[in-house]
Amino acid sequence: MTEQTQHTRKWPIILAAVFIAVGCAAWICQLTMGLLVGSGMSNTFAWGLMIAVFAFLVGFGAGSQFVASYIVLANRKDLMPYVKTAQAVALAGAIGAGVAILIDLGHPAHIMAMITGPNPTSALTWDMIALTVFIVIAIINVIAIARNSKALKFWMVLGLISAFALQLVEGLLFALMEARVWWHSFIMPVDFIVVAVVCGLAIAVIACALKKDEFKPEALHDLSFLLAVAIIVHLVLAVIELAIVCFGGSAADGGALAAIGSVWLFYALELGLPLAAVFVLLLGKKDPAKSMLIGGVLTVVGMFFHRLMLLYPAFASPTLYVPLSNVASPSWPLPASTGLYNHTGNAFEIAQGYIPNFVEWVSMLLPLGVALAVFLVVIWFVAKVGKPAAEASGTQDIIEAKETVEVSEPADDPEVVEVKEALVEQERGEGR
Amino acid sequence: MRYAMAIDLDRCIGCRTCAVICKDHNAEPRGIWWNRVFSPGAPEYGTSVIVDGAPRMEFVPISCQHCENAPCQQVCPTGATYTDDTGTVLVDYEKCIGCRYCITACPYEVRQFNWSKPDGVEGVDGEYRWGYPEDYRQDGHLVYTPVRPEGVVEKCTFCAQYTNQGGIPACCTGCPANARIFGDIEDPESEISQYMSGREWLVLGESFGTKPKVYYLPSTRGEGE
Repeated sequence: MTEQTQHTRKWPIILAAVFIAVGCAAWICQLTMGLLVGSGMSNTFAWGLMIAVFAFLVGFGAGSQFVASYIVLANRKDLMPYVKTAQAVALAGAIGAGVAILIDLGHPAHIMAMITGPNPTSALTWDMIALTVFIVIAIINVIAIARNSKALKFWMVLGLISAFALQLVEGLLFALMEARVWWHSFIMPVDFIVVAVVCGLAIAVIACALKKDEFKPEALHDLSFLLAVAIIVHLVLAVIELAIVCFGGSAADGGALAAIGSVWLFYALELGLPLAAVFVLLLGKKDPAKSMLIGGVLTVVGMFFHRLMLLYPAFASPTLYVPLSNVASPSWPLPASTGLYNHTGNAFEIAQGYIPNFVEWVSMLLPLGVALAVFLVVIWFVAKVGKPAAEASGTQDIIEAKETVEVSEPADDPEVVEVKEALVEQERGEGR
Repeated sequence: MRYAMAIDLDRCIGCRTCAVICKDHNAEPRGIWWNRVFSPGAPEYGTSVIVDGAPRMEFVPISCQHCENAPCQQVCPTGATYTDDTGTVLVDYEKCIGCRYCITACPYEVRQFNWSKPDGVEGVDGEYRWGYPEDYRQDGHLVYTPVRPEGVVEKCTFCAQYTNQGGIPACCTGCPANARIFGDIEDPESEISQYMSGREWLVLGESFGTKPKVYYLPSTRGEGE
């Protein structure tokens, strides 16, 4: 391994370590000073940036599991070199999301109550179970890939089911909230699944574009096309979601629309960036890899705004509208206690805006850093610890995929060198 | 036994004594209000709103509605929010993890979160704290404590520390117009049952299907004009 290669391998590790250290410091600030100082939330805007980060990361986790399972189960030999990365993103996203939820808790010291006395009627309980099961199956899938297990397809089926269940529960977690018109629709769980597919494919498109030499042009084209289709489906669902609120006609629907209007730029970016990505992905024929890169990044950023926009129309609008009791009258929202008197001097507000404060932005680095660290560990594990290729199982399609990689990859590619070194080591071991 | 509260909107004069006495007796930290009173549609508190060309004004006190079908209880992942034998919805401060899912689920926006360590008020001989001075446990659940843990959710308990000892909530005691009537709605001889007998009543947010146990007796002001 060259000095330059070692150098390029080090920076993601350093980045993950810095993210975790700085994010931890911000979390400690929140724990010691309280969320009053450590966040911009209030009683009326009770969920903030960390919930958006949770949904964002879990989308990439489940979505990458969709992609990994699809490649293995559909025998996509041309995309097989991406399976390892997809599985790593799946596990990293899920663990990062779990960390985000832990950070968001007001009293994490009571967390054992979720183990000792879970409430089966709570979607959050089911979310915890779904996330845990997903993580366990993702770990098994990582090991199965590393050891090239004969049972890989079986575990990939379970991975697919667990990812589907996870996103379904996530969607229901929001959709069951009758008090929030922005969430309370059948679109929410469906769109959670579609958005996960979008996120998984977006990461796949970016990763494959960066290593374009490992893949046939047809494979790259397929990924781009699949991502474009997934985005279009998501945008259609988003328009239906908006239409439901537009034509709902209730005072609460009007409040949600007003809240969207107050953050119209976020909403425009949520819809506009993925739409732009569709055009780039489908029309960028001149330099497909570059188009994939741009399209993928536009989608990822758009999905972040999509997750933020889960919150604004739901929380920046009142939930209860009250008419006069003895005469036909319009309904009006009543101010609620913000809980921010010590901070802002406002005891009551009809609706509260939300701007994540500096500590919140910094604490976001902790789940992102953990996700990056998990990703690096998985990549290292598969490359170093496990059996590197398909020899153990003798699965023909994976062998062929590996051969494709060996033919197409430059000889000095560090990953290929590593794989070959591991193979040689393994053969020596077997020889003894 | 089913505890409930009736609020007679004809009697409410909008003085907000209920909000203040509730805050005082329940040691609510600064910035936290279990009880609030507002006049629907009015741009400023205590001003009227024009409906059909005529000025109207009404005061609506809102606190936890102690719903029969409580969405906060359904979503609480640890069971910290529970309904006791009297139908009162309570929060066990020792089981709340501060996920705030209940706040998102409550359509009445009555749940309050302790965003920071509660602070007392500086008195002449040091820190002054107010409210019922001791912890109150119900079947082992810590449902009242004068110094709240940081990062937990709280709300109206129908003054569990009093009602479980035969008393009535502080807001009912303190209301100068006797607009609030508390008692066992299942007992036909109770004060609340007698008061509501033969009268119309309504609940807030009926469309949510929460089946509140706080009943509002509509105002008759302006009728027959």
